[in-house]
Amino acid sequence: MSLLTDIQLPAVQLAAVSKSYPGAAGSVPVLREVSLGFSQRALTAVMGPSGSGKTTLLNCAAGLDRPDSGKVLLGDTDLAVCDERELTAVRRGRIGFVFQQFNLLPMLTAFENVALPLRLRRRSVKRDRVMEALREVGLADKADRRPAQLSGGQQQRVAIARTLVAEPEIVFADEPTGSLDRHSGRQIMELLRAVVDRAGRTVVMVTHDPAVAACADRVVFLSDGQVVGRLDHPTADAVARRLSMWER
Amino acid sequence: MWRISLYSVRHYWALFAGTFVALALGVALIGTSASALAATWAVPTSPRAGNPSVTLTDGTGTAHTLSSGDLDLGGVQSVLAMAGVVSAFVTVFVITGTCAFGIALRRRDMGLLRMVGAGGPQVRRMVLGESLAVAVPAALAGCAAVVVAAPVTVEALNGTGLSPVDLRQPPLLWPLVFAAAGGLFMAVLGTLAASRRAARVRPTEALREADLDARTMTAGRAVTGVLMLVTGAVMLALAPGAGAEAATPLALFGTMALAVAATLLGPVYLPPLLALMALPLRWADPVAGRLAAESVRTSRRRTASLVGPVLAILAVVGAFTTVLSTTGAATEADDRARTVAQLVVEPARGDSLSADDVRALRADPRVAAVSAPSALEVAVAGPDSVWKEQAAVEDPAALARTHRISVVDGSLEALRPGTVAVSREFAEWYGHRAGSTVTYGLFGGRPVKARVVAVLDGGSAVPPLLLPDGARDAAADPSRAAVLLDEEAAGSARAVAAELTARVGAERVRVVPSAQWFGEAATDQDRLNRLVLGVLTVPASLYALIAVAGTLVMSYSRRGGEIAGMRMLGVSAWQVRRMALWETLSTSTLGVLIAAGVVAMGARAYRGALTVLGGEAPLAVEWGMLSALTAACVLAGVMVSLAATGRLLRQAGVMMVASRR
Repeated sequence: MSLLTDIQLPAVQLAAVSKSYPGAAGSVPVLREVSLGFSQRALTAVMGPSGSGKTTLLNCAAGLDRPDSGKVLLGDTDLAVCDERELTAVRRGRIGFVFQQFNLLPMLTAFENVALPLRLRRRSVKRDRVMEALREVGLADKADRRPAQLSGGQQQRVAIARTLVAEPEIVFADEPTGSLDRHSGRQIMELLRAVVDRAGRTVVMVTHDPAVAACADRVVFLSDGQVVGRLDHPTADAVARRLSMWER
Repeated sequence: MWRISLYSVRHYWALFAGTFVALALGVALIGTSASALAATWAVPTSPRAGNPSVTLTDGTGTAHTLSSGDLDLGGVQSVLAMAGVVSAFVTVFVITGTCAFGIALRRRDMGLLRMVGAGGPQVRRMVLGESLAVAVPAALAGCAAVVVAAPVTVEALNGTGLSPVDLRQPPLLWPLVFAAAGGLFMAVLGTLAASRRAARVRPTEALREADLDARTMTAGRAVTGVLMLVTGAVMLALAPGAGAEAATPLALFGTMALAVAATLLGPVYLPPLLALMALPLRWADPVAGRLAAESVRTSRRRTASLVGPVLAILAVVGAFTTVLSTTGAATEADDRARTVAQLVVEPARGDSLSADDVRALRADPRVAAVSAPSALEVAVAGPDSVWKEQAAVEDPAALARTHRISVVDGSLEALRPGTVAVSREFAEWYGHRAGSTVTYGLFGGRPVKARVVAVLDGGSAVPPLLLPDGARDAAADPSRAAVLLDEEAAGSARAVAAELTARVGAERVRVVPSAQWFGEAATDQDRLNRLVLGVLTVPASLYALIAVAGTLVMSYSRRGGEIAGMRMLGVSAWQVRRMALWETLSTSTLGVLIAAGVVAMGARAYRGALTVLGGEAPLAVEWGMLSALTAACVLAGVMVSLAATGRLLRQAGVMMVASRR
């Protein structure tokens, strides 16, 4: 576990971010003036009941969705005002993603999926470096398999290997263990921890599972589009207690 | 991105198979048409040197020399060029459709690429790369097919008699280069729109659970669709008043524009129509029918892609065949209506009646009048050009007795040297009236300035120019004569025919009643028309089948999960098959109905432009050919969808519905 101290700078800083989606009865606010920083070299979990705005928060923080108002600072870049070209450059070099499903391009082998960020940056692909990343996630022997020939957990691990190769400043993970069994889920969490502890990156993760959230350095609780609490160095019990408190 | 393009083509081969086959076929057809065209160009157009020629001066003072006996390859060339153009049109149409559909099915992949950091231009390059990865081998395959097919085609063309001389196979290099380059160009053209669409996919689309069909109607599609609709409507509105010549392209292109508009605007009007069609289905087959109805209604893009090819092909083929056969039918009806003569006399051997034969006919007491125009070609000078025109030597008065001819201007009188009579069409086109001067020249002769004494309206009975007797030496002997009997003899035309044959000699002439002669002539003309139609439409029809089959293969390649899910919910295999059957039948039927509507509008406009003496132009539709094409489309669709469903059903047993693809 890395130590959280106040002098650490946030990797991503959200300032008064609001976002609403058009609904049947006018626009529905999903995020209400959220101000939040995700610390560098730390694993932050975002939790909350369904519809609390977790995924929207993640999408705004990652520059996938544009907030209606507020700022999203990645370093000194405001993602809220970047145009599509700048956002592409940010995604290509500074941000990595791991999702619950559909992480990989089905037509590419595991190796090619991991090498994809390098190819997109028009860098030469060094086979050793890609294989090293696959080895770190324990899939060196599956390099030639296609996603359809891999289990859900293995696909997830390939996605993590991709972020290891791309060396982004920050990795966003949306329910990375959501569709996995307990054993595969634990493997994924160990790997994400390693991304923070060994590779020194920042990970932001949305999850439902208190046991998964317990692997984080800090848990941020979201309810009805607002940050309603924080918990540093969480345990599964503490997280579950907090959740049941808000759900009452 | 090139490497990713290759991987993607290999992985999604089913999505690209349709493009490959369509393009290979397109290249093969264009290459074959081009090689046949090259064969017609290779024929020297003036085979005999020293043919009689004539020099005329046009209105600007420029002298032009034309020679007789030049081979006219224009007819066969325009048929071949039209076949090439139809092939190219349909190829681009099919490729655009399959590419757009392919991108729509892979939106999540595009989103993921964007998420991992691919820029719009990179995605675009990937899509164009895919199309080249398919197009290059497809063009090569097409060229290989040309090498095999071209000599056979030239042989077949010689067999049809479409070309006045036997053609010889020219070197294939340039036709092949042309066809291959054209194929690559068409592939890129067909992919451009799809690649733009792909580049606009947002990264968040990667997170979508379902392939949503929400935004099938884009602004570009709507604008183009409305533009095409207006263009088509204006063209068809203008056609009836435009005259027979200008009405043909107006009706053809107007119909095509409407067909394109109907395809583009499909997402707007197809769902309500399909809902309407689904009513009996729901009633007749509650489970499978209902599933099919919901599936075609919600997957709007898939439905539009299935209706599109059926609609496009039937509309194009329907418009071409209907215009061609209606033209023929109208000309024939006009001829029949104009012919008063009860008998037609043809030479028993050879191509022409001699002057003696005609004289013998005239000598019979029961014969009231004989018209036997001697056809010839003359050169005519206009204000800024000199061209060849069909003419005939005949007394306008005789012609006006055997045929219903009205005098638009001037008077019916025997033509003296220095005078001509002209047809109404010629007069209108070149602005002549009684009293104006026509400058023409017989080949081997000198220019003649002749005064127009009459403008005659007689349809095809009146050639553009009727010349006085002095030109008879230059003209061929008449190919047939029309005989008007006097009133008493007219009742027993058949008996008189037999006697006339005996009188002139059965070895010299054949005398038949006019009605019978028209019947025989029509069959000949029909055979030729059908040949031209075949050259134009068989390739297009092949496309229909490929496009329908290709789209179905594409759509079923992504429905494994859906069908596995149905099976898990307890839908029987037989019900899934029936659902597929209903889907295909309802979408094809809709395509057929819309195409029929579009063609009917075009045909109605075209028919309005034709004139037939004493009535309306008849509407001739090639029902046999069109219903065969429709049946082939529906059959191909049903077979492919049943085969694809069968494959998916066999896989469904081992496949999990869950998260894995």
